[in-house]
Amino acid sequence: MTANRSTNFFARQRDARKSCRNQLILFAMAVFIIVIVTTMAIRFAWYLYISTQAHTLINFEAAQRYQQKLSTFTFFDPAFFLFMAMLIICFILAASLIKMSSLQKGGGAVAEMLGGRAICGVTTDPSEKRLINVVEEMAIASGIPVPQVYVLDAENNINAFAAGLEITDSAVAVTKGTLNKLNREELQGVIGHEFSHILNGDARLNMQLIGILFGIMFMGIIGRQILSKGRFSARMGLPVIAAGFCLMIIGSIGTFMGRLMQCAISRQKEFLADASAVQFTRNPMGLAGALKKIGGSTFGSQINSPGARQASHLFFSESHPHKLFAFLATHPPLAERIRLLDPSFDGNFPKMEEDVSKVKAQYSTPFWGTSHAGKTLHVPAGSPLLAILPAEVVHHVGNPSKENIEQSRTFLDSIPEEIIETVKSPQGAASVIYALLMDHDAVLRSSQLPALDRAMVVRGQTDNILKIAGQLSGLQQNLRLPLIELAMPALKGLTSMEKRNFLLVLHSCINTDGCLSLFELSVLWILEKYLNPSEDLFRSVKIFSFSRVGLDIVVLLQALACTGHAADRAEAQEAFHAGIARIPELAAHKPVFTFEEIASYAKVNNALTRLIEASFKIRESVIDACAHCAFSDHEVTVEERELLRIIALALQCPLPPFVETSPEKDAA
Amino acid sequence: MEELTSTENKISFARQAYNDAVTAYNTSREQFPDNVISSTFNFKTAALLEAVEKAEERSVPKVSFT
Repeated sequence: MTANRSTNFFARQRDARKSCRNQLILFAMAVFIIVIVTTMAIRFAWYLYISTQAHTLINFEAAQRYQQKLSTFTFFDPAFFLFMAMLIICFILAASLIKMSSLQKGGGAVAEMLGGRAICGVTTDPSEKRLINVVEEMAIASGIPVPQVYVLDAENNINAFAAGLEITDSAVAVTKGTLNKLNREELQGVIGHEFSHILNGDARLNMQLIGILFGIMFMGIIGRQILSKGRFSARMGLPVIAAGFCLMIIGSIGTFMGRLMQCAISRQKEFLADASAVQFTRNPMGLAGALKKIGGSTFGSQINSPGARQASHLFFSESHPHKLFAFLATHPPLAERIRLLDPSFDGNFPKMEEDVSKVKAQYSTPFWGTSHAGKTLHVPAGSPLLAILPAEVVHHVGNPSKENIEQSRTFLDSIPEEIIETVKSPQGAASVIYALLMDHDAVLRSSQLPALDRAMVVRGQTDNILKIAGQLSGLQQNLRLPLIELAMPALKGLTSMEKRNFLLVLHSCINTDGCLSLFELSVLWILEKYLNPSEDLFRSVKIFSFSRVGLDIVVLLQALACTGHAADRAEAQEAFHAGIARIPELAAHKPVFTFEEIASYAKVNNALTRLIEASFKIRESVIDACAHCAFSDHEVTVEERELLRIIALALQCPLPPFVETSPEKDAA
Repeated sequence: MEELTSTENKISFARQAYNDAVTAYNTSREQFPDNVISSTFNFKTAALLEAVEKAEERSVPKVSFT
């Protein structure tokens, strides 16, 4: 076992060349088997097709033709075989090339594929800062530039990986569990291990392997998709189902061969990496301690992210442990690795205390702490929102609780019954929405009325609208948004011309007072999106990185801060920065805050439109940031709450109404 | 505390990296084919970095933040 480990540079080169050759042999074998099985499968599907046609066609001549084909049918046909072979090889190569080109951006692409979040040097989280320090130390020790560091937040296990096409442009990623559970020595050992992968060229080789493996595995993915879209395949009949089934089987062959390829190179390289890590850190107990903790923890090193299977050879420890086939392991057994580092190891792993409830550790910091350095603040007794920590706002998105449901019943009871009836018809719904957004000032209202009179939907109904406005004037602030939500379905009943007219009139109504509040803007935006759904078939989530939507988030937070603190510039600035601080990537760019009294319609509109295209993870952070921005002072008015809910709705991350914790209700 | 540890570590790692580089240079200077070139052009061995602290500087300092 020790004889296999070569720490001599030339011997390592020799080993690397030999393993490359083995890899190619395995890959060629995999492609060969796949070609044969696929060709047989398609031939079989064709046979099924001919025989069903031959036996079931009513038209005698056509049936004759098929029977003729059936009689001359042979399973092995050289021309067909050759053609299919070339076709399949082209497919596999194309898939591999596409995947490799998507990975061309470097190690960061792999990290983001597995759900990683980049952390920067100015982070305030102490464990992240410690990680960055350790990475910098290792970079000095090994003589390469500091790689980009990522954290896999969603993983509670202890694992890490390094990826990158160039030594000078690579990325190191670490799971959240590693940050929380390992001490500094052990973290150093793990990072040293990853650095040795980078230096030995493993990171590059492994990334190329992901691309190549994708070519073999993607047929299985397609096969599974054909079978899962039940109606589509059932309509096309038996041959397609057979093809789908066979593709899945081929895919599993591909996955198996891919796994074999992954583990063939990995095990030896893991030993080498362990040895190099000791060479860098001069401390074998650190790495040994990390491995012991993996052995003792219930989460182990198993990665949950769906994309991790194709990258399982990159990780520090076994990411997908196989119970039956031990030879498919991508890493040598833990006990063996530990014994090489610490000969006194007796095989007993120290049991680790797992704190399962702390999965989202990043949200457990109370927000008072971030801006006020841990001092307890005197919050005015009247504020009913003591109970809500802005950090928990994100938890409430999409998660209505029992209290929310009970509260919505009280909401419905507080709205006059007439109005609930009116809202069910398109005209009524439009009238109610106009009434809600009409100005309270009589002068402005009188200038809005003629426009309303001419509106297509509510022509001549202005006194009706005024009546509704009167009924709604006593309505609590926090019932406005639920009422709009109730009114929206009926609006779908308008014709498209009426919808356009409705929106135009609404726009002009909102504009009569000369300025656009963020509330009005968001309502208009939501209604526009609702009444003009985009025609995209596929969910158009295009943006996965903060850098592309940075400006939009800044615009949104600025508008929110200015609205919430219209009187006090300094407070608005503080609120803005509190919000920005929640997104480290943006905070690193130190955005400048400009106080604008009037929110710019176009800018916020564009910002919201772009943020809709961002991934849900980005939107989650945006809502988190908005929550911190809105709540940064002690006084959280109902307006700010509703604003937060409106923005969340605009971003399609619905926030249930805030539950009142105090006995007295807010007056409108 | 973390910053102190990190700084000390960085210094020691930098020293270690330098010494590793010097060792690598010295060994390659003696191996074929580099030894031919080094003897022709009279390449000298590089000096390893020696510890220069006095005895009291080597002990762990006591740090308190109060």
